[in-house]
Amino acid sequence: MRHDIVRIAVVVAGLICAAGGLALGGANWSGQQPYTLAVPEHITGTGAEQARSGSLDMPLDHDTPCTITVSVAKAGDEVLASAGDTLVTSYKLTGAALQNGGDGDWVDSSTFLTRNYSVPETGPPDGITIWVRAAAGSGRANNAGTYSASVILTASW
Amino acid sequence: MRRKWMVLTAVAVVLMLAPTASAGEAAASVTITAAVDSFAEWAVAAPAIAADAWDDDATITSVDQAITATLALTLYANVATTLTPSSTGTGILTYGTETLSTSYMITGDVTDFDTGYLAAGTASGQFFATSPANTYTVAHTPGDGSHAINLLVKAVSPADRAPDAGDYICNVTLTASW
Repeated sequence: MRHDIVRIAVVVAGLICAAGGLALGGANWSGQQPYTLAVPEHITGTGAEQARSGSLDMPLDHDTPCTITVSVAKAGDEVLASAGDTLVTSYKLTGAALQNGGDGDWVDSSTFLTRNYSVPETGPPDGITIWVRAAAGSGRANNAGTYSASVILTASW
Repeated sequence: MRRKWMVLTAVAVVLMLAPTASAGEAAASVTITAAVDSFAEWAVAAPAIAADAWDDDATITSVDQAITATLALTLYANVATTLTPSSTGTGILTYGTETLSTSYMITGDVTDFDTGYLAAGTASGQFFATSPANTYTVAHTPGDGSHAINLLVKAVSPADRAPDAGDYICNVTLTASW
């Protein structure tokens, strides 16, 4: 009888672990999805002084150390673009859970794709914040309109 | 019965170990948007034609002498704009109480550029005319956000006497509106 109780407990624990998915060793992005980041202030002139930025919090639920990498679905997606026109696009990834707190300064869009960020500790949820900065080009006015970009953050463990 | 429990226990243990033993990844796509409004701005906000910037470094040294200068301006715009000239004064080159006959032209990326100089004045047909207003249209094509605009000025000394020697000054404001 005592052995049966132990066995039942083991089976139930196993099923809970399997059903929970994240219960042991995993990570999930949480918060409101799909993730959209709209830079709140509009660009109304030329040059770097017209840089506008915005940020988005992306909670990461994880119970294992993991690494965040950045990628795009297709080449060039990381650059804010509209009908062939582009803005100078920079990114930052920050958060107390990131090793060294993440980026201290803006990272140009192509370099951002080469970054990986270590999340050494466990203990969900951790606040990860992605920042984007859009700057007008110099020497001409960018076309008026809405510019868009997309990046993919992947947490691996 | 015992065998059945052993199988169940083994399955359970495998299920428990599976999440810790396997690597995995979770991806999140972030869509980002930023907006550029319609705007126009001059590349240089307060340009000047200095006394030594007239064509051929010319200065007036005789009666009834005309000298000209061209100021190349750049208008950054992502929308069609209208240029309207004005002046906080008369737009006439002045030194003390003396004046030079002053006239202007606008050429470059405007659809209705001048083919001759227009006298500085507010009467109809003059450079600062207000009714009807003397204006210039800068058309816009998407992707072309830089427009070259030339302000040409001509100063002529009186024909019947020598004007006082000195630097004659006036100002012109070109306002781009959309």
